[in-house]
Amino acid sequence: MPSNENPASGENGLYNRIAVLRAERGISRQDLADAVGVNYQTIGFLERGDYGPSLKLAFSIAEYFKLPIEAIFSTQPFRPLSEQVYGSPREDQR
Amino acid sequence: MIVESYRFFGLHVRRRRTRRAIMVVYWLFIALVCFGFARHEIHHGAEEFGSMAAFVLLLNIGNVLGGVRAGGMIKPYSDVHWPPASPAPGDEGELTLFGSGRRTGASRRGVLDEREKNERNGVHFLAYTLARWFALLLFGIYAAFGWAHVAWFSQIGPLMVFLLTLVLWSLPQSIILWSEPDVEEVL
Repeated sequence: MPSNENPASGENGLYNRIAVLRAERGISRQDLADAVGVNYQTIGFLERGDYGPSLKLAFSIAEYFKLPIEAIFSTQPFRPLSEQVYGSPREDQR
Repeated sequence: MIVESYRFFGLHVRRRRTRRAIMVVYWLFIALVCFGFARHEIHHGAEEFGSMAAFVLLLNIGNVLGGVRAGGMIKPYSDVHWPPASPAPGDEGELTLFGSGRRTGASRRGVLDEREKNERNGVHFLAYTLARWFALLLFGIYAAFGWAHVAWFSQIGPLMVFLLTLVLWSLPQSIILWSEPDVEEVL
């Protein structure tokens, strides 16, 4: 599973947080695949960045997680969620 | 696109290493058949046995490799199944042109999703590119043999047609089976 600190963009140059969101909510690949209408292997390809979803599929995934699409997919690497929530660690805390 | 539950003589096709071994054996077998066919044709002339063997082999390709029809290692390329599948309860289905198949919309099993359709299309483009160069090579060999007035020139034509048909029928599936990663790698 690609870590959020070093997410794999794969061949299509698109970063995503699907694996992180699934882990947070305890959702299996099969559950997500059934909900968005693809085979579960495709979810694996998406998470690894080896496949770029169509617009329809990207929106389906966003609707499933009830998040805006830019919270799940990005052309730039995502900052770690911990940094986004708590900010960058201060110098004296390192 | 691999049908994970498929077993080839008891071997799981989930692992790429297994599928690659199957492909090597498959194409070696094809080469052996072609060599035997060529020798038989050259020494005895084209006879029914060779043609029947070739015909049976062609019919079986789709059923083992899959793709062109249901039941093989690869999911069918389209959601039109031939031979026609029995419709699931509540699924009226839809007869296609000339009654060649029935769309089974209710069941997702075996239906390609968008990634698999992209993969199918890309593989067929690659296979077409390779096949056209192969066809050019065959034509070059045929022309060279004809120019050299080789004694058995007239008998290699059927073999070349057979080879080209084999390539067109099974090359896309071979590429998929060779390159698709292990299911465990993807998960």
